[in-house]
Amino acid sequence: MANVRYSSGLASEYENLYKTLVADPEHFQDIDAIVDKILDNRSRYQDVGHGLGIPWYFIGVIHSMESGLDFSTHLHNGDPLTARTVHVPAGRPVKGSPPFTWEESAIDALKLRGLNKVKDWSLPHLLYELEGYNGWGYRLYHPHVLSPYLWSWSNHYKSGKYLADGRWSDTAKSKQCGAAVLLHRLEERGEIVFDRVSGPIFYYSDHPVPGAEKLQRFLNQFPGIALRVDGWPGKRTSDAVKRVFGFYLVNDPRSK
Amino acid sequence: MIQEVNSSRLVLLLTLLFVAFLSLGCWQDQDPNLIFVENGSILSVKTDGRECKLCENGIAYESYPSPSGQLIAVETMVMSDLTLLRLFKKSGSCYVEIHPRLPEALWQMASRQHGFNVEEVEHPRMRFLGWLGEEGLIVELSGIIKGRKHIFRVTYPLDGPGIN
Repeated sequence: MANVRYSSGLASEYENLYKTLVADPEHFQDIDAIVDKILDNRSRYQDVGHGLGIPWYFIGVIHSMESGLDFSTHLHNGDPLTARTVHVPAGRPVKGSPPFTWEESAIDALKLRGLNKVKDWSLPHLLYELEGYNGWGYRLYHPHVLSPYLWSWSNHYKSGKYLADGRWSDTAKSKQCGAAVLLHRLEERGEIVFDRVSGPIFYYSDHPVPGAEKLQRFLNQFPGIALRVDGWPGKRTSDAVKRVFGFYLVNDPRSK
Repeated sequence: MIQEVNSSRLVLLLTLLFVAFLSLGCWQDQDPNLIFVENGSILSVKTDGRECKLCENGIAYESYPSPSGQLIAVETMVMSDLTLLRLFKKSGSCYVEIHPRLPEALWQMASRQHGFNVEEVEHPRMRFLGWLGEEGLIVELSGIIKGRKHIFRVTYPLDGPGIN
């Protein structure tokens, strides 16, 4: 289904966007209201996700995006659960007979998209799966606009969307809260934790090391530290690290 | 008693045969030579022993051949929150897209009739309802406008737009 391949470049883009995400203050209350509803139904999302190996919060935000957290409609497309779906994808779920429970249909929808086969639920890959769930139209055809499906109501999205008739508008604006914004708020509230890719680790060295200048410039911002920015993370740089962070650089003989 | 049971079974069998007959009759409305194949994000149609690509990059498709099989309407889920109807006409042994601005025309017809701006529509949906012979089609459009759900039924004549 996906037309965009997952790569380390894409992963770091998602990481950076998420790290620098700032929700629009005028939507703080609305975001919390959605997050409250997702949390109220956490056990239902867990029940669905458990057998499929999908995190509950992924299902929760998909539910918000696709059917406004309405448990009386199919996760597939928002059709009522009293019958099989009539909108595309039509005739779902194929097995069983209506009325369907929300859980039955949600499992069918997530399996249909192959999400039960996903093994990597790290933050960047999760964001990749979310964007792919919505479709790659923004990234492929309008790359100047980050997908509102992820970033709407944040500093990463101002305007630009597909209209109902498929035309593109640079001025139209999504009115829906983006999935990444919801995840970010869930994390801010301590409900979920994403393992972060750790930043660069600098080693004590007797020769210059690529990127060490950045560390030295950073350390020079602290009072009482004045390092020559030569990219050589030796004794003086390690001393500065010790002074700021309380430990020497990795492999500094004094740290043993 | 045994006779009663047997006659009940006979009635059941006849009912099942009747239902099967009706079902087969419905399928005969569609061109029996058309076979639709979804391969990843590509939709193709097999006709006259040849496979022709109709659409690509869709998330899901539903296809509706006209009674003669000369036309095919395809609901294409291009984004999870955007479904567009596309129309194809038989050309040689394959199909070519006609009325490429059909979705725009359909929404414009509904917006003119009901006085709303297409930019306002949230969660838009589009559903093929049926053919008017080979001359037109009926489509259902729905979406949320200013917080309220609206459903519009649009008739689209293939020789010129109109609205019910």
